[in-house]
Amino acid sequence: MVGLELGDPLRAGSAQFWRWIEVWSRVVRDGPLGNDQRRKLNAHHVTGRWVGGVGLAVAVGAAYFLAAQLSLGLLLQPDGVAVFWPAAGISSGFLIALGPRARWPVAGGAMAATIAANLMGDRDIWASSAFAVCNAAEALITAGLIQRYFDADFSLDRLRQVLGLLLAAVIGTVISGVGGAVSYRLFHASSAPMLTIWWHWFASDVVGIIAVAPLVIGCAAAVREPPPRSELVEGSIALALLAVMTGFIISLPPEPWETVVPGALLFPMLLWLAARCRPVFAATGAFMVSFAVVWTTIFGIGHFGDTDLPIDARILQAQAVILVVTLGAFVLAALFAERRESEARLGRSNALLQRERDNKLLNAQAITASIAHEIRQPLTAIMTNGNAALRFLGMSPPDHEEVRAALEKIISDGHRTSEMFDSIRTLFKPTDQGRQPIDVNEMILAVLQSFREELRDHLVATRPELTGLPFVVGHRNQLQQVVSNLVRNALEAMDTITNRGRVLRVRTRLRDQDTVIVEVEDTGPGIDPKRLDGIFGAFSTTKTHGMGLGLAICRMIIERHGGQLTASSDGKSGALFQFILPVEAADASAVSPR
Amino acid sequence: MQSDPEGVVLVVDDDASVRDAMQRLFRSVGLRTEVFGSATEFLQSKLSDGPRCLVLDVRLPGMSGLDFQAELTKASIQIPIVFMTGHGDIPMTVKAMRAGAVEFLPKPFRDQDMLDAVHLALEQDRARRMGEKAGADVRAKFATLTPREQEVMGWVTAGLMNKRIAAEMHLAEITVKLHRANVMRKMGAKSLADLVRMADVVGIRKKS
Repeated sequence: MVGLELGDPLRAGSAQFWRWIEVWSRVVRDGPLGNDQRRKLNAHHVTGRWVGGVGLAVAVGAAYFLAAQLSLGLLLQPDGVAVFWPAAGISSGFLIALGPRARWPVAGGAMAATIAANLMGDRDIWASSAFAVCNAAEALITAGLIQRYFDADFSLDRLRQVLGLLLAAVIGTVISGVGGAVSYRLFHASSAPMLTIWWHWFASDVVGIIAVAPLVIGCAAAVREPPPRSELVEGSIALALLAVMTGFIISLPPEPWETVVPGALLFPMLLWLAARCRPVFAATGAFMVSFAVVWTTIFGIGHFGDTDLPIDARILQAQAVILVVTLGAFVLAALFAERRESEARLGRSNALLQRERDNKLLNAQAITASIAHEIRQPLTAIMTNGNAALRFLGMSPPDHEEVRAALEKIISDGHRTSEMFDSIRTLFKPTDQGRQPIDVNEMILAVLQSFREELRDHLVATRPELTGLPFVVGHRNQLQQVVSNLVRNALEAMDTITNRGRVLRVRTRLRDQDTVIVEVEDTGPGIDPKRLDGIFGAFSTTKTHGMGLGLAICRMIIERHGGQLTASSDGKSGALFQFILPVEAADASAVSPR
Repeated sequence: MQSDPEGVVLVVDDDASVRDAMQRLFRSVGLRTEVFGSATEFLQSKLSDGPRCLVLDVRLPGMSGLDFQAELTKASIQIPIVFMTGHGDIPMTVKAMRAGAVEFLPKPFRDQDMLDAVHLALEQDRARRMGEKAGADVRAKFATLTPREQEVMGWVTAGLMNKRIAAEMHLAEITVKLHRANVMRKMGAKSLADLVRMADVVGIRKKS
C-alpha cells in the first residue's frame, strides 16, 4: 500500500500525505460500508488502507504541533505546565480511532511535534525529548487500554465506552504525569512541588483527552459510516445555534444571574445534539463549549475571565466545567445512541418475525395446493370413468365389459387416493415420534435401488459419490421421500434429453463436523435461472421438475429438520438440488393437523 | 398409420389413470384415441393423418403444456388444443387461449364439457384441412398457367383495365383479352371476385 521511498524523505512524505488525503476522500465519497457486521469487520481493514507510513505521522504531527503551540502559548509561567493540553486528545483520539496499526506513526508524530514545539519555546533538547516520551507513552497507554478492553468498533455510542474512555484517560495521564513531573524537576529545574506539577499535568491532559479525543474518534466513525443527510443538516443547525449561544454567553456582563444562563442555554442544545444525532455531533458541541471556556479563561473574557478570582481558581473552575459538560454530553449521547440501537434491533427482529410468519403461510399454501393437485388426478379419472360407464350403459345394447372395466378402475383409483392421504399424514405426524439416527448414505442407496429398473429403462447412468458421514438424527421416511422425489424429478427431466448422456449424480459430503450436504444432480435441460426461486412455490407452472409430493413439501421437510433445500441451474446443462442437514436435527415447530 | 375421417383425439397426460379413463370416455362416444405420457413421447411418435386434436395437461414432466403449445406453433404444427389442469390461474388461462387453445378445462371436468370441446376442436381441424386442400387445388391450377398468363392474372385481380394491362406488359389489348379468357378458364373461376380470391390464396395479386 503506502510504500516508503527512501531517497527524498520530505518529498516522499508529502507524496504519501497527499495520497493519504486522496484515499481518505475516496472513502468519504464512496459512502457507508453497510451494516454493522461489515462495519466491525472493516473497521480496521479500512483504516489499514491509510494508516502506516510517513503520511500519517506527518498529519498527526502537524495537528499535534499546532495544538501544542496553542497550549504553550497560553502558558501562565514560562517553565510551568501548560494548563490545557488538547494535543493529548489528538494523539489518543487518532490512536483509538485508527487502531493498533497506527501505533508507531501516531507516537512518532506526537513525539516529533512535542520536541519541535518545546524547542521553539526555548526549552532544551533533553527536556523536550523527555516530554515527548511522556506524551507518546500517555497516548499509547490510553489507546492500548481501549484496544484491549473494547473491540475495534469504538465510536462512543455505548455508555460502557464513554466510561471506559474516561478511565483509560485517567490511568494514562496518571502514569504519564509521573514521568512528566519527574522530567520537569530534572530537566527544568522547576521549583514547584512534584505533586503540584503532577496535578497540573494530569488535569490538563485528562481534560484535553476528554474534550478532544471523542471528537477525533467520532469523526473517524462518521467517515467510516457517514450519517444520513438529514442527520447532517440537523446536527449542523444545532451546532451553529450552539456556537451562537456560546458567543452570546461569552459576551454577557458578569452579573449574578449569568452563572445560570450558560447552563440554561447550553444544556438544551447539547441535549438536542445528544438525543437526535450520533455521538460525533455531541462531541463537536462539547468541544465547542470547552474551547470557549478555555479561551475566555485565558483571555479574561466573561464569566471565566473574572479577574477578581485568582488564575489558579479560574483554571480549576474551567477544567471542572469542561469535564462536567463534556462527560455529561457524552453520557447522554451514548444513552440515546443505545436506545436508538435497541429500537432498531426491535424493528429488525419484528420484520424478521413477520417474514417468517409469511414464509410459514406460504409454505402451508404451497403444500395444500400441491396436495390438491395430486388428488385431482385420481378424482378426474374416477369421474371420467363413471361418466364413460354411464354412456356405455346407455348404448343399445349396453357394453357391459366396458362398464365393468370402468368400475374396476374407479375402485383402484379410490384406493390410490387413500394411500396418498396416508403418506401425507405420515408427514404431518407430531415430530416426537420416529426420530432416529439415520445412515444417510445407506438411505440414498436404498432409494437408488428402488429406482434401479426405472433408471435402466430410461437409460440413466447413476453415479453415487458418497463419503463417510456421521449419523443424522431425523425422520427416515420423510428424508427418504425427499431423496425419492428429487431422484424422480431428475429422471423425468432427463427424459427429454437425447443429445447427451443421461447421468444422475448423487453426492454426500460433510461440510463441517455438524453439517451434512446431499446433492442430486442431473444432465437434463435445467431450469431457467430466473425461475429458480419459484419452483418451490405452489403455483409454479413451468416446472420441468416437480411431480409427486412437490418441492414445496420437500423443502418443508428439510426445513423442519433444521436444514435448507436449494436448487441451482444454468438453464441448459442440468439442475442441481442440494440440501444441507444438521447432524443433530433441530426441530422447527411442527405443522400439526390437530 | 391409417387415416380416420372421424378424427383422432391425442391425449397427453402423465397420470396413467387419467389417460385410461379418457380413452374410455372417448370410446363411449365413438372417438378414436391415442395416449402419450409426456410431450417428448408425443413428439417422438408418428402421428396419423386425418383430423385430430390434442387434449393436453398443462403440467407435464419435461416440458409444461404451455411450452409445448409454443413449441408446436414454432414447428408450424397446427393441432387444435384443449387444455386441462389440476390448478389454473387466470393468467395461465388467458395465455393459453391467446396462443390459440380451443378450450381450457379444470380437473375434474364435466364429461360433456370435455366432449363438446373435443368435437369443436376436431371440427376446427377438419375445416382447416379442407381449406388447405382447397388452397392446394388453387395452387395446382395456377401452376398450369403460362408465365404471361400468371402475370395477366396478377394485373387483372389488381383491378386494372385491359388497356392499362396492355400498356404495362407491352402487348396488344387483344392479346391481353386472350390471356384473360384462358386464365378464367384454367383457374375455373366463375367471376372476377372468384379469381381475386384465388389470386389471394396464391399471393399473386399485384399492387396497383
